[in-house]
This record gives sequence, structure tokens and C-alpha cells, in this order.
Amino acid sequence: MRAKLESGQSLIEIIVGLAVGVLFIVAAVGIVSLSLKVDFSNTTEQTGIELANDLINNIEVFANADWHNLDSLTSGTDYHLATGTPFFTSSSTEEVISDGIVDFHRSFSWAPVSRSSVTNQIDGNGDNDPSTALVTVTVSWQNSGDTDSVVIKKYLTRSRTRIFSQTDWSGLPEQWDQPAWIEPNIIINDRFATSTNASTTASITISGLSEVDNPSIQTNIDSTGKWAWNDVFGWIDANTTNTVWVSDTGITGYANALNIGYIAFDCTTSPNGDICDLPADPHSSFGVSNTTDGKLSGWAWNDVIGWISFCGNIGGGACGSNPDYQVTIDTSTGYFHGFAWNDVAGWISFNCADVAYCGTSNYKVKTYWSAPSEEAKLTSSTFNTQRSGGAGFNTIIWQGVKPAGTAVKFQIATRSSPLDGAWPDSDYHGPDGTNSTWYETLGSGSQEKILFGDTAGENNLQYIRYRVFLYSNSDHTLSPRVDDVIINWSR
Amino acid sequence: MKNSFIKANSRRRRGAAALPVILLLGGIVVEIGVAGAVLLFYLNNSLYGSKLASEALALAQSGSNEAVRQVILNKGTLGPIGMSVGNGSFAVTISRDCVANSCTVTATSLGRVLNREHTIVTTMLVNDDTGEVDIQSIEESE
Repeated sequence: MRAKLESGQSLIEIIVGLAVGVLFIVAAVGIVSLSLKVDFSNTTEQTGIELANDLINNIEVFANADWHNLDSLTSGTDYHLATGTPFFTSSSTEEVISDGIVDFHRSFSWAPVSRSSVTNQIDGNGDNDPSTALVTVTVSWQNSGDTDSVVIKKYLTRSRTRIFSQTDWSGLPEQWDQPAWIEPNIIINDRFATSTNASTTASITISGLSEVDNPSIQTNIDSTGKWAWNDVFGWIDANTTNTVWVSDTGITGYANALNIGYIAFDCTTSPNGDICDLPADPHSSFGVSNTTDGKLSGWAWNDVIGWISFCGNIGGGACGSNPDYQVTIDTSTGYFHGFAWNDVAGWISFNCADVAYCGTSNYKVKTYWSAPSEEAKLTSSTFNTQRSGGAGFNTIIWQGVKPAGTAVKFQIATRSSPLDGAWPDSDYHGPDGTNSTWYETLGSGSQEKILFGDTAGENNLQYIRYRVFLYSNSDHTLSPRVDDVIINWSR
Repeated sequence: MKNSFIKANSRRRRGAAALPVILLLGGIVVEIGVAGAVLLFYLNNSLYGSKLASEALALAQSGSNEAVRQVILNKGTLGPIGMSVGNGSFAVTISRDCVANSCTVTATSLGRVLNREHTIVTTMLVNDDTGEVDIQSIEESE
């Protein structure tokens, strides 16, 4: 009886044991199976990551060798790299790499990048930067009916820079092309294409002016436009005494009437000094006043002919708001107009245009007060980047001296093919891609980005010229001095 | 009688041994399976980390390239530069050390995706007069 019981228990134990064993084995097989599947999946994904890393590194090498390897491809289109001559070529056909079990589909695409013109940071609303691209590499494969993929994004930039640095303009003009050079030894000689009103030596300045104020110049009457006329006593020279100064409030100093002597415009600066406070002098406290819009009034004095009125009425009386005669200054040009009156000699004319006499005698008086600054400009020879696909023009810098009130501005012209002789003015552009704007740096040594607007497509060309504009201060006594012009570009 | 007891007793012993043996063997099998699963979990994690690390490295390199570009456009750039790309981001700090007109500019770019980071240090020589940039070295930093 006991033996029977023990035997039955053993059978149940065996059955339970087998059942538990089967469960264990099934579980173990499941785990092992899952492990193998995941391991396979991991191995495949690891391969995908390696393939993606490999491609993105190769693209960087490909773009560094020549940026146009990348940016000449259609953005947003999938490509792959193939081994070619000398090392890589791009192809738009699909690349399939197989490890014997899985087929990996590998491709890349690129997208243009915009940049803020203020902060230089990448900004989707900024200007297109022709030297930056966002590259996306994708590797995909099939895994149990699903598509798995690895995506890696990377910003690439055209970082191999070169410079054109011109430091001397003492050579002759009408050199349309700079000499050829062999990479990386860029040659810029001392010649240029054209200049207007510029003094060209080791530096560029406005003709007749320098960056240092000339204390000997005490007048702002033009050295050529200095003549007024009276039918009785003839010419008045407003420049030679080097004392006549027109300001927002009046005229000081004295002119020289060739036949009757000096004409004083102001009692404090007469030929005899300050005579305003001489009580015995009948002509103390006189002067010619000005307004900011160039309307003169008041009295000048000459010892021979007496008072000269700059504004008044034929029947006498104060100047008022609607006088019969008045001398004025055109604030846009600096030219005097109108007539002054003297009881002895009659009308004094300041501009031949007022009497339609310029064809016979082209006399006029011109002041720099409120007139546009004096301007000089110089256009460089053509600089050849030798990049047939075009160079990325980055910045322009100038070195020199910029006295207060003066200005230095640039425009840039680019072309894909050389053109001898002068380039049209319309080729020279500022930052908005038109010739009505200029690149103007904060001062000597500061950089200004060369941007040609988003759509003008003028960056990425092979040939470039710069045109520099120099402006004097408003008194026409100071000029900026440009010692170096440097154009920074990327291969 | 004696033989019958011995026989019965020996059967009992054989029956009682089967369950512990199967339990023991099964336990070992399951333990190996669990150990494999745990190993797989960590392997999986490690692989995911490797993927993130690749993306972080690409971002750090993006930051390095971006720093060079910004120094080209503005030789006095001091940053910081940073932006998000996909699931990650890069942040660049720039230091500048000038002797006369020759400046050594160091850009340290940190690329990050989740908890994975890579740092790239780029050293440039910048001519402060002309703005010309010459890359001296690009190194990964710990």
C-alpha cells in the first residue's frame, strides 16, 4: 500500500516537473529568441549609425575640398557620394549598401541657411548666407516589415578664407585687371581702374584735403566760386582775404572789392578788428544775418560806398517776410543768388544765372556751408578669385583715419566673367543689391558683411571690384584717409 | 518483506528527486534567460546612447563650424552662439587673446542630445587688421 502511494506521488511529480520544465524551456526559448531578434536589430542599427557617420564625415571632406561640390547640387534633393576621381563624386541615384542580410539605403540632402544681418546668427528670416549649408544624412532599412532609419543633421560652412588687400594706389589708373596670381600668393599691385577727385598715393584722400585740419584755411567760400559783380566798381572777391565764413547765423569776415577795398560783413571781424563797441564810430554794430534755410539780411560796410543792404524793399523799410530784394543761399548747392543794394553803386549781383549772363561771364559765389560734402571716389581693378564656380565674399574692411564729420563708403561689383574697361555704374551695389545703398563701416578697422540681398545672386561669382567713396566734413576742410582696403572671401 | 521495502523505498527516492532537479535546471535556464535579457537591456541602452552620441557629436561639429563662420564675418565675435537642431542643441563660447594684431580665438562647442554630450574645441588665428581666419586645430575635448 505504501509502495503504491510512493509510486503515484513520483508520477505526479514527474508530470508536474515536466510541465514546469516545459514552461521554463518555452520561457527560455522565448527570451533567447527575443534576445537574438533584438541583437540582430541592434547590430543592424549600429551598422546604420556607422554608415550615417561615415557619410556625414565624407560630405564635410567633399565640401571642404570645393564648396561647389555641395552647393551646386539641388537643395532638398537626395544624393549619395560615390568614390570617383580624384576621390568623391555626387550622384542622385540611390545608394544601397548590403551587409549580406539587410539592405541599407543611404542618402544626403542639403538646405540653404539664412543669417541675421544684425547678429550674424542663423535665422530663418535673415539673408541667405551662400557659405553655410545644413546637411541631412539619412540611412534607412527594413526590419520585420517596418522601416527603421537614422537621421543626422550637421551645419557645414565655407571656412577657407582668402583676402584681397590693397595698400597702395600710387600707380597709374586704367589698370582694368589685377595681375594673375598663383594660390595662395595673392598679388595686389598699386594700380587701380579710375578715380575722381581723389589723391592717390600710398593712401587715398580727397584732392586738396587731408585728415588733418588745415589751420591756414579760414574761409568756407569756394576758391573758384568766389566772384560777385557790380556795374560801377566791378569784381568782389569773397575768398582771397581768407576770412569770409558763412554759418547758420550769419556771415563773418570781409571780402575784397578790387576797386574800392574791403567790404566787411560783420563788425566784430572787420579789417580793423572788432569795431562794434566803438561809440564814436557811426558804423558800429552791423552785420549780415543768415537763417538755416539760407536767407540773408542785414548790412555790410565799405569805406568808399558805405552801407550795403542784403535784404529790403525798393521804397525803403525793413526786410520783412516778402522783401523786394534779398540775397539767398541755395542750401543744396551752396550757391548765392539774388542782389544786394548800395545807394551809391546800385545792385550787386552774386550769381550770373540771375541775370542770364553766364554765357559771357560765369561768375558766382559759392559756400560750403550747408552744401553737400566734397566727394572723391576710386574704382579698383578687377580682382580674380580664380574660383570658376564663384567665391563667397564675406566682408570688407578699410584701415586709415576718419576725422569727425567725414565718411567712407563702399560699393561692390561682381561678375561671373571678366569684362575689360569700365563696368557700368549699375553693377556697383550696396547691401540691398542696388546701387542706391553703400557698405559703410563704423570706422577704420571694423568689418562690414558683404550681402547682396537674398535674390540678387551676385555673391558666389568669380570677379570683384570695389568702389570707395570718400566724403569730407561739411566745412570741406577734412578728408578721411584710406590706407588699406581688404576684401575677405572664402574659397 | 525486506526486499519489497527496499524496492518501495528506492522508488520513493527516485520520485522525490525529479522535481528538485527540474526546478533547479529550469531555474538555471530562466536565470540565464533573465541575465540575457538584462544584458540586452543594457546593450540596447548603450546602443541608443551611441546613436545619441553620434547626433551630439554632429551638433558639436556644427557649433564649431558656425563659430568659425561667425568669426569670419566679425573678427571681434565673442558669442555666445547657440541653437536647437532636431532633438538636440549646440552652444558655443568664444575666448579671444590678442597680441598686437594677431589674435588666438578659441571656440568651445558643446553639442547635446538628451543626456549625451560632445565638446569640440576649435582654435583659430585671426588677423585683427584684415580679418583673415586660419584654423589651427579642431579637437574633441572630454
